[in-house]
Amino acid sequence: MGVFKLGGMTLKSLFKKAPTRRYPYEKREPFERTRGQIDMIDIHDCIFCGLCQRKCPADSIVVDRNESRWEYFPYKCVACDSCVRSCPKHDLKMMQERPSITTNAKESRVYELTPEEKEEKARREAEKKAQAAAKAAAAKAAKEARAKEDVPES
Amino acid sequence: MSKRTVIPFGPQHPVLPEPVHLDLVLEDERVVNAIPRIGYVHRGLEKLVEKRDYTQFVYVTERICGICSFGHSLGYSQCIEQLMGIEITDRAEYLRVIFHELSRIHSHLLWLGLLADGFGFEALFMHAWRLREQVLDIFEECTGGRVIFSACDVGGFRQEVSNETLKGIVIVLERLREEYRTIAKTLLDDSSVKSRMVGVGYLSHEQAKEYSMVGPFARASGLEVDERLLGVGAYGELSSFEPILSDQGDCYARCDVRVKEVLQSIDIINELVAKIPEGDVMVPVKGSPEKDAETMMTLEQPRGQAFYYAKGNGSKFLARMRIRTPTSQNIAGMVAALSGAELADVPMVILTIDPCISCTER
Amino acid sequence: MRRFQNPSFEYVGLEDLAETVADFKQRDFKFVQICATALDESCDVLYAFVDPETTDGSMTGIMVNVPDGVHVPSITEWYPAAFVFENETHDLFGIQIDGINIDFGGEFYQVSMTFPMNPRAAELEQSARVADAQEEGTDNE
Repeated sequence: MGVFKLGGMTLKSLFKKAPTRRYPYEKREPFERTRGQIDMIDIHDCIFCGLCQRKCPADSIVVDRNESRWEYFPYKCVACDSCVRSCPKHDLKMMQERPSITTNAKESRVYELTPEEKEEKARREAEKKAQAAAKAAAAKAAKEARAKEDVPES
Repeated sequence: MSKRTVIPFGPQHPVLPEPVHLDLVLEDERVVNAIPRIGYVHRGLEKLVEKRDYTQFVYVTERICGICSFGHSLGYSQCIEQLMGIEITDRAEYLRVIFHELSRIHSHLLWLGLLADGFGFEALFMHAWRLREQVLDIFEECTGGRVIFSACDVGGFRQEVSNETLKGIVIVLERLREEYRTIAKTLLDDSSVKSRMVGVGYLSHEQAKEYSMVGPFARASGLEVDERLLGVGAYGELSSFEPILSDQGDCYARCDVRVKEVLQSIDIINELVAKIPEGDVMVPVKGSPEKDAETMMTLEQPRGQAFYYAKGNGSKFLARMRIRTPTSQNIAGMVAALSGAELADVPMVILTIDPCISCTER
Repeated sequence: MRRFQNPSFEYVGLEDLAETVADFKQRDFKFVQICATALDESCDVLYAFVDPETTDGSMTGIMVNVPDGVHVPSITEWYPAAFVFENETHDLFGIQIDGINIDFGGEFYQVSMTFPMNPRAAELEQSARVADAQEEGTDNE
């Protein structure tokens, strides 16, 4: 009498809601922790340390320090969450949708500073270097002066 | 003197979840010998150890197989922790075992659906996979992925799972237990199912011992092999654990053992959730394995005993990582179980062995 | 909480392998697996067993160092399930094993490269072909 054993379950399912979903007319709300692809929050916070590139097991992030450029290939990414955890500035976040359909599997998302911002950054770094060089030269001159003072005494 | 014919089975066949090739030598509808050939899903993952360092390789081990994915990342993490002498927190040990038992439930539900589909009973296949969706929703809520979790790592468990979420898991599993019992009884008490499975593919206790079989395949012949008896990790905190055995040794006994294992896993999860301690879940990991340090360990996956061997190099790349999965150990037993079976019983025998060929070939 | 297992490793010479495995079979050891590691000039083969007398179920491993071109005896006489691993070791690493009960002759693991896991695959293939040609020559005479 096998046909009656599942009869209870079958009859109940006549009156219950169907366990299937009419996708694409009804879409499911993703869970909070669902892993899809990553995105950068703000390029101005990024220090271009390259930790995300080193931790990635799928080689999907390319960081160029000299050009101030961060590039991400969503189709190589396996959504493992290592880069989000290892960023020292917490500048990356995990989104809940997978990358949308495309015909070019090598397409990438690029964030880089505008040319004016790059010039500003290069100028600030040159200033800092000049200041540091001046401080070092002053310290060296002071040391030499103290050494010359010691010699005539002895 | 009857003639012998050779019929190829696979690599594409409706009952096989993964491709494997068998040459069946037949004498008048009775299988005399079976010659296996593998290599259709070989991806050379063990060679990838030279290119990915030991913290990145855990993602590679997760992707060896879709059904036993958490088991492989767990075994790899435990092996590297044993190699480097890292001790993780108690809460991480409990969480790892809870998710491993959930993975076992999901694997056995998948197998039950495939078995019913092999019989032609598609409605039961749909019901079993509908129950499996509830388990996959648990996984996605806690770790972010349905099949590949990226949760187990060298140093502990990556995601914080709160105690309320764990109590919610227990409630979902209790509701699942009743429906699962109805479904499993419907399949196993049916007279046509019994007539197709009782007495088919019989392997005695001595044969199981001689062919060094593992997993539910061996436990159905009365051989007591279960790595959870070693008591490593949170398995040692259980009040009692008895592996489920049967002494019939035929296809029906193997199905029976697997069905009861799901209920045993639900009991284990209930006990551990009640006892779980508080604390952190990750421990920071620094340094690399030493040169010429080697270690090996075993783990009980849904299909049997899995073996992991790691050898260090002094640098952050490992010298060798070896993963031996239960299905490759059971191939000798599979060949022995197939001899003497009729041609129409071959799909049934292979399904009750529960082969996972992507694990065998990595 | 017990966290680690305690495996033990023993380094054994190639000539003592058959004796050691026969002794293990008499003491009722359970067979676990066979695996190979490619080193600079040779290969290391690991045979893993479980002693039923141990209280914590830890494994015993025998390591055998096999230089290139040397033949290894098979253990399928005592443990028939080892044929899977011995065929796989031959197909992936190029180690010659004599006396396997079901010998596929290199056709078990069907991959497109010969001996893919061994960096010295080209020389091994060359010497195997030379050895086969010499054997055929002596058979014909």
